[in-house]
Amino acid sequence: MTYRLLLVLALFTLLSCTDRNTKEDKKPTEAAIEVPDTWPVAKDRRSRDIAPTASEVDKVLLRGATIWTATGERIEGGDILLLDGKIASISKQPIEAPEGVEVIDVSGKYITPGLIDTHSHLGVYPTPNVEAHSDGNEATSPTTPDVYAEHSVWPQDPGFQRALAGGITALQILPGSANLIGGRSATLQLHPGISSAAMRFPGAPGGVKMACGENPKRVYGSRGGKPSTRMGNMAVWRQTFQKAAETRDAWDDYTRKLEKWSKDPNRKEDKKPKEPSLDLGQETLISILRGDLLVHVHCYRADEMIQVLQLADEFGFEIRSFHHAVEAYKIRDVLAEWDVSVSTWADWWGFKIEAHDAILQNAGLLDEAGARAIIHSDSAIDIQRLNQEAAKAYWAAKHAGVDVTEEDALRWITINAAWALGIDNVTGTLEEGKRADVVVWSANPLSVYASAELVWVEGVREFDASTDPTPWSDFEAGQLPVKVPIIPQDAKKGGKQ
Amino acid sequence: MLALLVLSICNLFALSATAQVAIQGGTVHTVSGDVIEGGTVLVSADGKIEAVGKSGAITVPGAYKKIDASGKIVTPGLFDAYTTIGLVEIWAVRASRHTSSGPGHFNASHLAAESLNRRSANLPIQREGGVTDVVIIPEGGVIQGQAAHISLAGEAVFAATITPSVAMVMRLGSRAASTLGTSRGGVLATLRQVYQDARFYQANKTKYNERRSRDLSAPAGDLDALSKTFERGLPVMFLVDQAGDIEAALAFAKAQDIAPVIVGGAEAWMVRDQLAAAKVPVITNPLYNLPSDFEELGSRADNAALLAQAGVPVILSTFESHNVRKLRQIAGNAVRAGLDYDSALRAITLEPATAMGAGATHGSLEKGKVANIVIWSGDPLEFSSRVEVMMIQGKEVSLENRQQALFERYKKLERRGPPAKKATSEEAAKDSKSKESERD
Repeated sequence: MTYRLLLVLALFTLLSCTDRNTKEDKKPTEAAIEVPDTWPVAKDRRSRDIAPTASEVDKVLLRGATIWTATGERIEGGDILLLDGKIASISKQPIEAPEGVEVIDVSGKYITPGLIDTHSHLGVYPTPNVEAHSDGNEATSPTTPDVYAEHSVWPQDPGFQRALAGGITALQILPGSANLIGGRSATLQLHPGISSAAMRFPGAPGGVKMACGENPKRVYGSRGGKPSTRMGNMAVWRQTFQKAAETRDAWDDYTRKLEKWSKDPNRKEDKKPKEPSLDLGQETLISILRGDLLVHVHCYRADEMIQVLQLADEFGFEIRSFHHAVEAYKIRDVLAEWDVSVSTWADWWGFKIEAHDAILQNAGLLDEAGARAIIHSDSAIDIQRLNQEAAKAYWAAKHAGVDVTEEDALRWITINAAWALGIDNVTGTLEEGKRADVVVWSANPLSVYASAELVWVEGVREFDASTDPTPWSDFEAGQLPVKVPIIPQDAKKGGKQ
Repeated sequence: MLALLVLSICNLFALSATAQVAIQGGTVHTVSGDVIEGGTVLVSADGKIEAVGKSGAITVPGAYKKIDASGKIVTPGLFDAYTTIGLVEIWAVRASRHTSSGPGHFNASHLAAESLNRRSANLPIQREGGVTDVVIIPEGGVIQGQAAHISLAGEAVFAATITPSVAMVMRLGSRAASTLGTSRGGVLATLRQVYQDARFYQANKTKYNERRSRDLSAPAGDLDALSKTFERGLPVMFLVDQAGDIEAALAFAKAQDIAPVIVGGAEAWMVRDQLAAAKVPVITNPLYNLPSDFEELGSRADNAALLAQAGVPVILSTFESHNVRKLRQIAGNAVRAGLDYDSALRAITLEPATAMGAGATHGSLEKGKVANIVIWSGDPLEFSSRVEVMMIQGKEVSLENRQQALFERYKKLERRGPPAKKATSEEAAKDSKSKESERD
């Protein structure tokens, strides 16, 4: 199983590069096709993306910037060469421009990896946020492991391009938190796409959203159903995974018997083992149990995070990231030990009692304790300045005497987020051979005055602040008698004089 | 009249324990005048600003407590003109939420100040952002009630009401239409009737109270309160985003002779010349740049910049309850989107104070004004800077709060015994390793 997945991933990563580089290639590509997990039944059923995705990859040399690689290194006045959608080289010494490569002087500016948001509802709760667009919560059952966020994503959400303009190159779209098991997440990259499948981040492993605490018990309890309490939450979870474990065992048993039967030279057709039943929900749950999906859990309180870790322990799976997790600082030793990342905000609180103990130093304390801190947005507004959210969290921690650095803060919105999404091998840092997901900033990205000026996604220059970008979203075309630019046209005049 | 009211209430709350203070050597952003490098601000015993100027030009009496602000930035306390701070502890806890003036539609007599919890743990948390003054807004209905000017002063209580009524709050457009079960035109027709009845009631109080009058479209007490807005008296905050609704608000205000303030104003830039000509202030948040609904299709990050360039008085607000401390971040983003720095600082100090009738007493560092002063470690709009000293009515206020108390409790983790190990057997360790490689 391991081998097969590895092959599949390698194959598709390869295809992804070659196909995308071919400008004239307009036929349905293999590039965006992704087999996210190893479940044998549904794998062959996943449809191919039938939308054409072809973009032009830049050959570009960026000269003279302060390069924050997110590996802990900061190169002053360095060069970085982007070729074939990848980072070809990074150097403190001047890099000689190969023939046909555009050279851009970015001295005085900052370069970071593309930012990554582990928690977004763009597309599933898009703008305009009318009821008919509200597709984030399949709140018809407390467990809906069969749904895929990808099928709710409206690729025309104007929020995608504005997120890109804030330096975001990859993001995870999650179902909402009404359900204990809300469904599969979608890890996307910010190329414009006519379908959500066309925006898939190639090779990203599958993810699943779970939610604990107030939301599930409120949504179902208010309808007189289960769960209506936290013990109800836990009971429904355990029942659900118990049943999934039984189905998994039945399948394992079937596989063994089938193998035995198929090796029997005297096998009889009527003795062939019968395939156990399976549905899409069971497929997701069993993928969780097998460790084939990255598990993201919306959970605020420290005690509940511990309970979720116990649940995962009981059924033998792992939690990849707790989301929101405003009390994570209270159990940062446990989270560091169990290597569970924490996706949190800088300063959100006050909206519900499980968010009451939020502190500004959450991310800083987690990082100091060796846990993986991540700043997420959960907002179409804040995703546009994730760098600022990280800056707030960083400075609050720094001022309070927590041992953190600017490099740490950058990791909260790049490589740590990439790890939570299982794409840290291809993005999240500036390293030779990684994808050219790169942002040029007008100033230190932890400054309120810093704007993303250029953003490359997989080597494609998707955003250039010096132009007046055409809106990606058809929704924004011709709506008003006057033109509304998607970014301020005199942004560069900003900054303190 | 308003100014007098403000002054008298200020006097009421002036704290007697205030020391005489000299803040020396800082870069002083007076907001009303020039930036003074190496300036001195003198604070008198009655909590007022006694003098502001170049350090060399001001004699500091020996008895004054000296605060060295060299290398620091001195500004007026920040002022957020649209918040629900102190009206709600936790939004999802119904019993702690006192933002609504409902259930009626026309709640003109409702005073947000009467719902304020002056001991809310939220209040000192917001001081972290250098905010000394806020306006609190009632929500609910179409005429939402009266907003109050609150100062985040005090230790025994965390806030003081400076002026219980600084604006009437009203909503036009879609949300008002849905409240009334009508259209945006229906809202205007209804409000015209309400105003007509308010004038009728003023002229026929006795008759009405003796039941010798026609019926009225709103409770008499609410109609009575509306009279404060007549003849451009108490300003009216119109909650409107769509350009057309802003135009309707301007026309309604003109017809009724009331002084409008536009709140939200996502599409205000589209009618900026009209707003500038009528000198109507706009309270807006530059972070809102998405076409969130059909009233905000023209949302853009540089709304504030365009308004300021056209000469519209621009006020920046968080529209927040629990993160009013973000006000400086919002101003920083307005600058990033093209608003000049001085206008941005003005938009979170003097401009809101002026629009809320406190321009004579608040919002700038000027002789005779209330000494609401913040000393910053650096640029107040920048994340790397923090509040070092906050003074309200001349008295230094504590910057301690509940979130800091939690931080202190957990700064060092008292070990509760070693956490359980993640991997309990070699096999589990191996499994997890192979899973890692699958992802590579």
